[in-house]
Amino acid sequence: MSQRIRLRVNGVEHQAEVPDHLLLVDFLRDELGLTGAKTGCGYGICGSCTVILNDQVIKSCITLAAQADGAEVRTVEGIATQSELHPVQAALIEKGGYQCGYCTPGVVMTATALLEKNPNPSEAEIRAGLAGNLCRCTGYTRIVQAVQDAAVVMRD
Amino acid sequence: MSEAFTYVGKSLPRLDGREKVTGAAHYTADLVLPRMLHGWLLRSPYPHARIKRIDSSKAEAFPGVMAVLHHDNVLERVYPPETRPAEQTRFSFSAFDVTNPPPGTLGHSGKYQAVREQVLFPNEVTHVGDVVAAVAAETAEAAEQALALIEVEYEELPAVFDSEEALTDRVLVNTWLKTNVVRVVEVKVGPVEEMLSQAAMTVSGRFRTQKQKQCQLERTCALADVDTAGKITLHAPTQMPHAVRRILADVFRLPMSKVRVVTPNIGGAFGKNIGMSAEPYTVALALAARRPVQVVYQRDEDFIGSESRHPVIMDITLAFAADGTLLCIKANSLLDAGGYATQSGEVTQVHGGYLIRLYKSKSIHYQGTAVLTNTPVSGGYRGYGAPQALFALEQLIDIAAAKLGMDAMELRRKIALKVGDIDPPTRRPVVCSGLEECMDRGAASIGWAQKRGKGRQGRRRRGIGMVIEVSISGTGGLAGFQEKGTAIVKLTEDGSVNITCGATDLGTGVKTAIAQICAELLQVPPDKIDVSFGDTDASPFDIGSHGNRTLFVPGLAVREAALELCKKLTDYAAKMLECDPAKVVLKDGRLHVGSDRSLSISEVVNHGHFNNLEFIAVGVAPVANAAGFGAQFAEVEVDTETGEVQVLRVVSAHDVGRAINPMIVAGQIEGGVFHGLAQALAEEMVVDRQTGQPLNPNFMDYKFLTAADVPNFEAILVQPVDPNGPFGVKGVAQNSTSMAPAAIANAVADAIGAHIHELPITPERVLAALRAAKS
Amino acid sequence: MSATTIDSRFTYRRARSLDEAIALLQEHEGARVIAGGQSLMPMVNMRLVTPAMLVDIGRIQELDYVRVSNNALEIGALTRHLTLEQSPVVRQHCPMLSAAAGYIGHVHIRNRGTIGGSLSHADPAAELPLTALALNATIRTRGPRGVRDIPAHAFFLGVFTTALQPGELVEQVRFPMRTPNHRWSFLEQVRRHGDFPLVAVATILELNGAKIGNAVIALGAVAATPVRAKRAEASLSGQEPTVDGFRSAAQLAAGEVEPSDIIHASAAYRREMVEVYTRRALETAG
Repeated sequence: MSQRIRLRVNGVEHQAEVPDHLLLVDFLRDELGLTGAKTGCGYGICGSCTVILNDQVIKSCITLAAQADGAEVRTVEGIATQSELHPVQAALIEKGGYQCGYCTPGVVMTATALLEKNPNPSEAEIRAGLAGNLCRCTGYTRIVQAVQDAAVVMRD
Repeated sequence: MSEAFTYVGKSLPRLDGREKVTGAAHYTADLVLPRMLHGWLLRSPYPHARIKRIDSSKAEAFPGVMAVLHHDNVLERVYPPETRPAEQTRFSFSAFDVTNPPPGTLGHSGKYQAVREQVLFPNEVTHVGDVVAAVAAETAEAAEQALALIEVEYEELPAVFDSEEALTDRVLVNTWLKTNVVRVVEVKVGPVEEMLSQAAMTVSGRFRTQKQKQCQLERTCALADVDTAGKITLHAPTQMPHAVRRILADVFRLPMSKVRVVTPNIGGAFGKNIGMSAEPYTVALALAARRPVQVVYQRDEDFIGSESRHPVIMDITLAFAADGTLLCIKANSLLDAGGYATQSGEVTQVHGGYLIRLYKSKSIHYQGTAVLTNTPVSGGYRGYGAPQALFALEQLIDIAAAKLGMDAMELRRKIALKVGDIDPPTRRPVVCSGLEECMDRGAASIGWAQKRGKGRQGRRRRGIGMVIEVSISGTGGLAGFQEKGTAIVKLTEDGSVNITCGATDLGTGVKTAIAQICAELLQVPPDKIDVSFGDTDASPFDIGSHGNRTLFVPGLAVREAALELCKKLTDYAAKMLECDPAKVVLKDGRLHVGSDRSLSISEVVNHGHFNNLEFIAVGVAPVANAAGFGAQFAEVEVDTETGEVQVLRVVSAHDVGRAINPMIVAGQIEGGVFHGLAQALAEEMVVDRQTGQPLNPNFMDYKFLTAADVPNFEAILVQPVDPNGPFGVKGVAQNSTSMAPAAIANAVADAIGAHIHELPITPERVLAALRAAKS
Repeated sequence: MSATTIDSRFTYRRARSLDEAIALLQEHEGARVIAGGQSLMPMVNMRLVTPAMLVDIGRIQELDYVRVSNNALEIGALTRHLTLEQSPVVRQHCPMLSAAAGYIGHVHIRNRGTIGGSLSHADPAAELPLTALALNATIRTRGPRGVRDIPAHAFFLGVFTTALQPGELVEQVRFPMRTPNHRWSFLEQVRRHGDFPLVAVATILELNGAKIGNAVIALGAVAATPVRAKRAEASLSGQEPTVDGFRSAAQLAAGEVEPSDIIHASAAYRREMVEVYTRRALETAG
């Protein structure tokens, strides 16, 4: 009824024995104390639980911790360096692309992965890319602007 | 505006930026206390039933279960013998219950009694999802499993789901009450019958709006702890900590001083957290288990177990003279309160206010009724009755303008509330309005003159529509409402500042704007100002965050406190420098006398602290209000084969008085449009008309729109600088939400030549309207 | 939620091959397969299903492939939707498949969801089952009794119901390669970006000179399974592609299905949209 898993989270190796049914989001939050990823719906629509697994954004609320065995996981806590925020994070602050901040960790992960794969996205591509991250506060306008700004910074 | 401010008017990045974008910020469900238990709630599957028997013995025996509460055992399990009541205390989940509006409120009929029919664990449930029992266990899994072991025998009772049917009282929603009507508001002013009979032209219509859910991303939750001395600490994303504290103290029979409410970061609220939801159950479980208990609702529980927007049926007639003078507003509104009354009385009043305040009329007759139904409870949601009201009123204005042969904006300019007019809720003249500029700039941006009435051809038709509004800035100075805003400002020895206030930041960023106000007055940079909101131990009473008040009223309180501190500083500096206080100037964090002598704030405070002087001020907001106007314009494209409506642009111009932080205000406006657009086109909580079952309490079938579904929203800030608010601020937070359904409805009407009277404006309704217009 | 919950925990086993997975399914009552988990885990989290065991086949790399072989496009069951969307091979040889995959949910879902999973799940509104039917794909399955090939039109039997026997799993899906005289389109109507469609239409017009040879009009989301509008197809066969012809075919198509009332649209509206979207799809293809 439990699994031994090994995975790297934000560059740090972890080994743990986890219940078979444990969701990845709960592993990150309860076992590792990384509470940036959150459960907003529990069925993969709202995106508050977004993390990057092996370079791809996924919904950690519909992923088992066991499925992450051997994987490289990045969460919002690992996006900034020791000294600097990631351009996506800095742009969100600069543009006012967050309000309550609950969706923000998920948005940061999705936007980061989007720009890593597509350094010069159109507005439509940004909006489609963010369609798996629901936000109730901003109306999305400033999130999109922040991603556009971050894209410019990352291209330089 | 020629004043040169250092901090006010600047789009400074919010002070909580780093913690939010790095995921460091803690919300209630992120908190962990030692020995914390997990609480789950058992909910009624029936819309109306009596509980005949509950047997929780198997649940109580389940491994890991530390407390099980329900109607039969709550009194012994939660109350010690010395305070135990004979029966469960009746209260209201509405935090406004503490204000209990007295006679003299808008439309008070002289018979208003706040309805307090709720108990923690009823033996008669009034909606699907009503709480029957609660379990606290060592793990969430154990709690969930234990719930299934609670045996409940229900006796189903007749239920009513339609508000018009409920009005007849043929079926009682709650047999503890004698009627389903929880509030009647009536306002009658002027010679109504005479004006109706004299009218050259009338427009009438019936309008219906839907149940909408706030859908904040943070699921409803609370965390309660009881310390060894019996003091409760409740961590909850409430909007009204002081009010909640008082209600909980009353229910649990504790002195208020032994109840502390703390608000961690809030993951969006939008009015939902004016009403209590998880709080009382969480406290009850903590008291019973004598350990911390955390309750986190599943998303479907959030839909049906916390309050949503009132569905409203409105019958409205507007009567005009030939020149467009408004002779009568006659409006009858029926609000669906759902299974419990909570704040439906307040919403009925406020909704009526939106119908009768905006346009000057020679006579008014508003009758608003809130009625219970056996459906999920309605409560506070951004706009608070305004979106529904404006959806009806502003479409009728468009229809009237067409009948009068006037441009729709021209009619609004003629009859809208203006400077000098008596403002009904305050009974005093309007002193400041930016409405004209809002209309001018919004109309120019959307292309009103070029596009209005011009897009009505082809398979994809375009249209533009407008709406205007006037709203309040908090509840100060409104007849019969109670407003209470207080803040403490403290200077420290190094010249930094602590502010505490009992209002809450729902995530809007208001704490940064409050810091900017204080920064400007004390000449201390905002990043040296710590703003603590929402801790009832630390802050004096404040009614909480709602009604466009959180910058206006706490801002006034902080202003008063800061001004008092300025005076204390200059007086003491004068003593230290041995000069006339009138010669001391506070600037750039220093106190100057002439050009050659100055002291830092730090030096003054430090000196004072060791000479028996404190620099603490308690600021009380003066009773004040400011009318905040707005004009919103929408452009839509309608596919006449499918009926689908695409919103191309929304331009929302707001008279904000002064924008303390333009970026924050613009963000509020843009985000508010989203809620209104969703209400206009996409969202509806559907309750089965036969069974009372909510059919879509999830994000699959409840259409919370994505970034790919909406355009950029555009905010225009108009700043006439109001004399009432701090630095001229007016409240604005709800207003763009209030206007959007009407703006989109009027735009659709411009595109297709027919008005739609029901929300949401679904493709089917558009097709039906197109066909009706053809024939 | 509430009173019908039972123990939501389950055991987890990872299979290194399909045969191992099949053996585990046979051995353990209440065991289900998980690949991407994008359909299954939401149901588990909402307590709509309570499996006793999940057998994870998501690591069987050998089943994640796209290749041209035997004049067909062969797609391993564990190929992710993102691959279908972005693979140049798929875009070239089976562009409808690529387009359809791009409609699935949002990027997070497409990163994980698999074609085998989508076809097995057989949601009546899903894009890949519709595409498989329209393109006359062959689904190769592996089970306790060996391997078999099932044509798409015999695979989807009802709502969430396929021809898969207990213990039988999808191993590969084969699509015919597109030929230059094929015109195609794939359209869907959604209430919100990324949703399952209210109606989806996949069309293929095979042109023989100026006339339509075979026509395929496949409808999704409006019946228990994706369906072919056979009378509509027949009306186009042998005809030149014309606006009037498309309109008539669309009307016929609408008459061939009986969509039900759903929370977001009445049956009458949905039927009307079948006509509108079929016509638009044919106009796009033609």
